[in-house]
Amino acid sequence: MTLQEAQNGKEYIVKQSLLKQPQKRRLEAMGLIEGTMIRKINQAIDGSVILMVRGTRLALGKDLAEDIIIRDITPSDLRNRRIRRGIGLRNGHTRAGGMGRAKGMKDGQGKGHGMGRAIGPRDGQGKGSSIGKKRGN
Amino acid sequence: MSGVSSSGDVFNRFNTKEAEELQVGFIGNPNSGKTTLFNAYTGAQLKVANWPGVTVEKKEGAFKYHNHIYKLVDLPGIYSLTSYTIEEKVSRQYILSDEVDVIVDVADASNLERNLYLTLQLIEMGKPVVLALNMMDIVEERGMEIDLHRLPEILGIPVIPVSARRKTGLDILMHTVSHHKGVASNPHVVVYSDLIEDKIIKIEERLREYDPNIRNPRFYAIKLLEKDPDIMENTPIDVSDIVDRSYETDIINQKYDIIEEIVEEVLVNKQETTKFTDRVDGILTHRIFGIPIFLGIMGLVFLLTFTLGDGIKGIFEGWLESFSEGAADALLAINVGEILTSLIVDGIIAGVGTVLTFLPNIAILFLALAFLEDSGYMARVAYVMNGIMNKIGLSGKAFIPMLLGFGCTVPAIMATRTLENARDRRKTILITPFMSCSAKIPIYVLLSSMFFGEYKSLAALSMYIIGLVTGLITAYVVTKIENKADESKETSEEAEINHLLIELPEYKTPNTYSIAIYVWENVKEYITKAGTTIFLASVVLWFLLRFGTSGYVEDMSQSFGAATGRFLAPILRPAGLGFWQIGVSLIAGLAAKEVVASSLGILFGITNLDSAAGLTAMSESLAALGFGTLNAYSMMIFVLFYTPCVAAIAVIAKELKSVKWTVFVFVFQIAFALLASTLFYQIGSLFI
Repeated sequence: MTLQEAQNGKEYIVKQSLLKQPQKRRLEAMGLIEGTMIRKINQAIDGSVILMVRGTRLALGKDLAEDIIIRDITPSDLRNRRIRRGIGLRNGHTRAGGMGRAKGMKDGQGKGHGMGRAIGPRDGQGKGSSIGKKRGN
Repeated sequence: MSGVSSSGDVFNRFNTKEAEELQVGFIGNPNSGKTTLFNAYTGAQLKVANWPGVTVEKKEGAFKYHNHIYKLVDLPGIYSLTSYTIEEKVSRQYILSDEVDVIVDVADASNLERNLYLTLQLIEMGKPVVLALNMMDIVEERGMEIDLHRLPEILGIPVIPVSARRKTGLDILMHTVSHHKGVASNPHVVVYSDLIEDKIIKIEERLREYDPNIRNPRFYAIKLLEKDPDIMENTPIDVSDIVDRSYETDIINQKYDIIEEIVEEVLVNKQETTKFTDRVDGILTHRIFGIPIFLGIMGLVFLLTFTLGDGIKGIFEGWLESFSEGAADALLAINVGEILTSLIVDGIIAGVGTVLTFLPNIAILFLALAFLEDSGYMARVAYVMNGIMNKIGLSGKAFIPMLLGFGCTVPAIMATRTLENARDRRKTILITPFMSCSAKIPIYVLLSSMFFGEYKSLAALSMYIIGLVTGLITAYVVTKIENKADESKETSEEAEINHLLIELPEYKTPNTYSIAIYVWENVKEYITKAGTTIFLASVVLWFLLRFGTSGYVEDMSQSFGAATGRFLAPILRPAGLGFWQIGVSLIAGLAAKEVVASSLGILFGITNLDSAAGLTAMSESLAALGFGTLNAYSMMIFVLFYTPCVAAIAVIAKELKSVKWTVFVFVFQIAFALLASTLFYQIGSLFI
């Protein structure tokens, strides 16, 4: 069903976006992508819709609301979400989290963008110090 | 601060006592409180500047703190660093330039999930980034908690909680900024799927082959994978074998996956929304009552402007009267010549004073507009009005500039920048001046008090309704003409439908301080205008009306001004405005609309025009000319439609960037005013 056919106050999953660019990209930047959970809040007489996406209320005109295909939430969605998060955790956390610490960061700098940057090594120091200081305070 | 710390003292290495300059760019989502923060730092030093060749404005300000001069640049709010809108392009170019030393990413902490999307993109750019978590007070109010130790660990950049509204955390933020110059963020914080990471590595290699000194090839690699048009154009290497399709959606998806994890990890007691906003929206954006409520609010705003304002105005009139008399006596006592006394009392005090007595009305109007803008209702108006606006070929968003136009046309025209396509902007610029600006209030009040007795508020209110309805009809007609033109063309310009896409912020109790500033800025502007434009116009007008071919004239009808007015009279006669005095005041009104009112005072030699006695004298003088109720209403209609003022034309020219269109708008406004008032007067004459 489209976002227009959805019920007010109910949560759905975005199944597909039939929007054209640049509207599609703009909504994607605001976090409305396939698989995103949304909540429809209201609909005006003319067909404009208010919905909640990732904690933001968005008002969409009729033409946009018609092109967003949604579906009901199933128990497997919730399970999949958790699984997907699990995969992400490996990617995001261990590596990203590790980067934040002094040692991991230095490695990262060396491999990553440190090339050709004169102030490369100082990067690590500066960062370490500012975080450290914040904790100290 | 640089003297105290030793570890972070990396750039004060020459031990000079000279203040170091730091260029700090404020970037963030729209409505994340960037400008509030910017104002908190810069105070009165804020100035507005243009970038060459761009339509979007950035603001610059500077302040000194400890041993640093901070040059702050406030960039327009954006959701992402792609290059699809002008704002995004401008912001990205600025960040990629070497101008900026440290980027402060201002994020709305109460809406972490969406705000972090821009943060991740900024980190990927590999520049020094500090995350300012704004609106921490709201986070606390809602009982949420953000793990401020874990978040910087994950992101690899300093995270400083601030509240721009309560001015907390400001020192710590700038302290961090001063220590963060040259400290690049780590673009590896965001790690994509193996498929994308492999491609990134391959592209990076190719980028390095081409330019061994390339900085942060990862950023360019990601942008190439997204098929970003700007970067593709400026990167002379061929990666089409690696980038077999646009990976943009994948990249956005995976960024949001990571954000979900981060939020899960750092945000305790996540609350999606406040019930308060839901409850208020249930009424204000109601599918049936939404529009009536909005019209009711606006009606109330203008009614208050006229009735409540009139009450307070009495006090001002008293002051003006005693001041004027006192000034005349004082000038006489020190033997100032009669002509000079006339200039000061009949010219300046009559002109400027009349305008100043309307301050209460102006202040009330702007107070009401401030409430609308500060509460979060403005965006709702775009939603509520979208249906009607779509019918006339505009997006509901175009109603925001129109609404601002009730205050002042100049900022309203500038606000049309938020509209996506050029056609929408042109149409909105064409009709926004039909929304009666605050400068027209004195004319409406004067004429309606003189001729409409107890119905004066209604007469004044009707101008707003006529202006609004005419504006909507005009846009409708223009859209129809455009559509016709499109049909006749073989390859029709893609008929862009105007999509509404706007974020509705949470309602908040309007902030007393920011409302006070808003009202004061506008009141100050009004007073300044009275002291400059209107002062000057009054002096010029006095000269034109007191001098004729035979030198100084007692009888104004012999003056140069009268001659000019008489020249115009035949054109204005069908509209019931064929009096030289009216012609003079309407021309003078091109400088600023208030001058129409003030010039009437000068023309009829009434110092305190707005007082009861002044009004009676004035209406008697007008009646003697044969200027009656019908003429008065016709004049109100003319004033409603004709060119707002020189400043408005200047800003229209700037925004349209076309002499042709600007001349068109100008001619259109005058022709329309003449046509409408003539039509009204001629039809009206049949009945009265």
